Amino acid sequence: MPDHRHHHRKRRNHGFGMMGGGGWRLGSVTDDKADVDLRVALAGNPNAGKTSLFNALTGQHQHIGNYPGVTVEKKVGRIDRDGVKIEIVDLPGTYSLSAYSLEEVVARDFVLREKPDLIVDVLDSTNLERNLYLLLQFQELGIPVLGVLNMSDEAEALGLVIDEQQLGTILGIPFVKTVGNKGKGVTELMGLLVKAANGELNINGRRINYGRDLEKSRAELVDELKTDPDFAELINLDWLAIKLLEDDDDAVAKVETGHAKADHVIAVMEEKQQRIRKQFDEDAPVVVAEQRYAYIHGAVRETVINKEAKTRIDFTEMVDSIVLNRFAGLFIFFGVMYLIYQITFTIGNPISDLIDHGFGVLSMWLTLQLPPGIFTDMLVDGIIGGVGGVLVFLPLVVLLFLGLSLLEDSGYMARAAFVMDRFFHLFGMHGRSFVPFMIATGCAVPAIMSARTLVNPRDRVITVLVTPLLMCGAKSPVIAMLAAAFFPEHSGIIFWLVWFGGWLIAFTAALTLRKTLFRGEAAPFVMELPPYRRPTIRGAFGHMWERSWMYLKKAGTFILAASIVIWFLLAFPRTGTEPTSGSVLDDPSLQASTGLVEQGDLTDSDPRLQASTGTTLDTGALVDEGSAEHASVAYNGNEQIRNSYAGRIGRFIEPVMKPVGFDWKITVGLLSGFAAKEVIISTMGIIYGIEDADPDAEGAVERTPLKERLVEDPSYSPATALALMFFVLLYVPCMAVMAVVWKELGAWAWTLFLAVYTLAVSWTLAFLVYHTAVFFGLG
Amino acid sequence: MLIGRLTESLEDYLEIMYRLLQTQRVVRVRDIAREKNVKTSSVISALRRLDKEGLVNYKAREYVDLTENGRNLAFRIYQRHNFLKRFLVDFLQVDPETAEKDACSMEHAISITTLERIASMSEFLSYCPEVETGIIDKFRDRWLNHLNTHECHCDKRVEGECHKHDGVEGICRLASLKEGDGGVIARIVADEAMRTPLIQRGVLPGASLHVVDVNRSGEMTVRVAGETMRFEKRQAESVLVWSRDRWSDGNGIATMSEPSVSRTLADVTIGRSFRVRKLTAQGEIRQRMTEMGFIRGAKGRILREALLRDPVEVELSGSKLSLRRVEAAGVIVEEISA
Repeated sequence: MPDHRHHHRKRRNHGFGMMGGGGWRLGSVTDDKADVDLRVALAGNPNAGKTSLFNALTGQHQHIGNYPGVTVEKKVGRIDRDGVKIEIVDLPGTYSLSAYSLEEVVARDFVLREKPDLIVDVLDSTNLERNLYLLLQFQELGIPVLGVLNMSDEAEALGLVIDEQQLGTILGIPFVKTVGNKGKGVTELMGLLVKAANGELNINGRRINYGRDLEKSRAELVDELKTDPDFAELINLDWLAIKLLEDDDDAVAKVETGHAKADHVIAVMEEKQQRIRKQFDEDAPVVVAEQRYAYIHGAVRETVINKEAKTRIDFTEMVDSIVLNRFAGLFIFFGVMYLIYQITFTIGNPISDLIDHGFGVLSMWLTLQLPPGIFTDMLVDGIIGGVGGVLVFLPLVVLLFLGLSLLEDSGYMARAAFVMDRFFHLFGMHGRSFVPFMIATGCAVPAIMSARTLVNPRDRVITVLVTPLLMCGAKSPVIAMLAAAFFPEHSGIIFWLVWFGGWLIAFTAALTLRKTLFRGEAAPFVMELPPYRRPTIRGAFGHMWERSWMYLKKAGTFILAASIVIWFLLAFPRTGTEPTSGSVLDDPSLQASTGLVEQGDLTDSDPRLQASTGTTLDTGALVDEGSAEHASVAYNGNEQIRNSYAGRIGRFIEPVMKPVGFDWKITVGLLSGFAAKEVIISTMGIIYGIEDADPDAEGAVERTPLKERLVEDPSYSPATALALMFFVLLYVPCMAVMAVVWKELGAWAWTLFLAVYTLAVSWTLAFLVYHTAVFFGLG
Repeated sequence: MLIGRLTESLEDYLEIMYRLLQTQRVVRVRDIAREKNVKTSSVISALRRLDKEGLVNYKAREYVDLTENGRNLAFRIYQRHNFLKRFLVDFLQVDPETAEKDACSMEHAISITTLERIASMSEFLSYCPEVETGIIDKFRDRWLNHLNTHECHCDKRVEGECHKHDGVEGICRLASLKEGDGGVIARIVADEAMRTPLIQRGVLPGASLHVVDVNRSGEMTVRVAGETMRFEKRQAESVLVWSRDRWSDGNGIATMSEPSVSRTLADVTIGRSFRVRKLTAQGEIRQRMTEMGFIRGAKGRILREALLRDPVEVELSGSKLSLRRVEAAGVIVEEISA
């Protein structure tokens, strides 16, 4: 790093003490981040085009993570321009900096704690007043702000002429016009950033004057705050005082925890709020907000000329009159959702199957190539199976997020929430919860990831916790098989009964959660319906790529680890003295690691299973070779499972499952279902395929499909089957879902809660179903 | 009962109770103590005296309520206070703090004659065609040193006639309003014999009103500033109503707002335009609505509703928002013509 760039030192303690005067020399920070010349925070309203500008500035040099302790996404990008290194942190999109929403607290704390050198605030030029509301608040935090008048082409099209020089003079900060999604003005912006990094940009931030009455109250409150000099060192008091007048919970908490004379300060604060209320006949927070708006109103009036007096919603309103029509809107909504669903699963499932199949073939090939042994087993069944289990979801995630980001970027997503909100709100959820619900009927993994469209944490947690209760593509083969086996006459009705039961229980659970753990006032629904815009390919693919990568990196590692653990539980301790390749192949853990596939695909790699579940073979040659080898080895899959740790656990907890009519065999099947729900079939296939099989009469056994064997088994009755269907529908989600829940909610506690409550719900319901069925003579 | 029989301090107690009752269901002794900044013991002794006068019910230890008489008296004082403060702020450009203080002392001392004269003056200045266009606004601009001049709507200032545009704007006689209509009192056109009792009852220019009921003989039940009162047909003929509140013009100038509940956004018909008067929502919802632009004076229009009538879509200051009906109910608005 050349020395000449370090001669400007950033002033650490720039408060807004000097209103209008002073100004900051922007420059390099050398203390802790020696390799960065300028640290920039990128802020702005949602829908102001922040993301496209961020991409335009940083290109591919992005790093995605979370803000510490919360699941709000944090993107960091780097620019290296002529040796000047700039780091840009993308703050969450917010309308304000109150303490109510998580995003706002995150944005505010980041600025207060990290003290970036510069805040770049992206403004939607077509709606300056509301966008400037946020900018004013950033100015108050005492960090230099640079205003970006984004979407300036749209503003021009509307006949809005913005005098950015004049606006800059009034607010005391530089403004630059851009068109983020077309890359216009980005060079100029970059130039300003480089200038800032070189200390050549002087920003005389001017703080808003709140008028005599409020300023007086503020000044008195600042005096009060100054009575603790240590506290005064830490925080911008002018800002804090206004926040206290606004009755901001977070500001009050800061005083209560940090100030030596907190009680006194709070008392003075209440007195000032009272005074303002008396003077203005209005609550203090409203008065403060009104003053800000009045100030902005004045600034805009002096700098913006509306030549044609058009409003930007002409086109959008035209579309909305159809899309949001009370009746047509519903059909359009279902049409759009159907399309998303179809794109995700119709295209995604075959690719998933292909991946799964590929891994099956690879496993088998490796088994035949490598010397038999424990390491081969682990490599083939644990690791390769695990990687396959991760990748099998990838096509779904990719396609779903491509579709969703197109919806989000075009502006339709907010409309979808508008259409569905009334219904979902009945159950304590948000209109946007519809998307995860719909997707969960295919697969809960991408569904839970899509719950990110829910901004409010409470809505998001409820939605994430109940969507796994729905019937997904992996549960349906199990339930369909049971329905067909035990209710051959009415299998269709039974299947749909269970399917519908999933929805009913999910909504009931949501309502229950809302009334118990998530009690309290509903989060505000008020939201912007942004103007329709053409989504950019870059934006859509960028988002898709981000999500997919997050999935692979975050959830993927967990799924991989879990699949190794499950493999271990089923494969150890070893039965007999001779580890055989046969037992490895028959081991359900290979299948255990596969995801959303049909039972046929699952069992492709296992000839016995195939036979027992009555499916055909399509990896013919390879498997035949394998079978030849198997034939010489005593097959002992059943014994293996029975004695494995999983089997022991199954037998150990059998007494608990007895009341719902399940014996240890079902229990072990259910345990293995944690890997993936459809694996229940293959595990039980192994147990049944072998239990009373005479090795000499192998052929006969193999010709009997699993469902017939189940019906023949005296420990099964239609009542057991019914109970099992509901149990499979509701019990602990598979490990992939658990991994995603954990990553999306960022809390072990919720993940654990999910496991416990689904177990409780499924057991109770299965118990009721079983005994009701027995009562009606189905025992 | 006449104003003046009680001490200033006791009148203040009544007024405070009235004010508190606007926002809460019951008044507790300590609410009053906090509001008036005195010890609970002084409040109790004052309440005992008011109880003796038959103006409050003070039996239980904690809660207090106004009697019918107390409520009438309190309302009169309260309305005088509001009116005087508004006059000081809007016409004389006194700053709100001083206006508040002055109104506090004037409300007790002022004679009915002076009050009546001030009312006449304010009417004259704001609504009579002979006054030069925008005179008050010019006066205000000088005081506030505001650069822009305020647009004046004097062209619509036609006295006595009901000039409605789209049924929501103009000056009308109260008698011509129907059940559910509302507006702001512009002027009382009557001889002294009829005018004085009305003004004494608290029917003062600038107060909002809302017609609750009209019976066959033309007698009206009207909520004036939140208080229900009856108007004979004759009286209703003499009250002119301005369907728009000139005093809260959304220029960011703090003015009195009416305590009465006029209309909430949830009650506005689809397709109609409105102007925000006040947010009654609290906490997070209020914060969110404020940052989305629901601010006094902001103009908007209800665009449509979803299938089950909820949520609604609103155009506000040039952008489109969607909100649930319960949220819309937390915004007090007045309907305006587009």
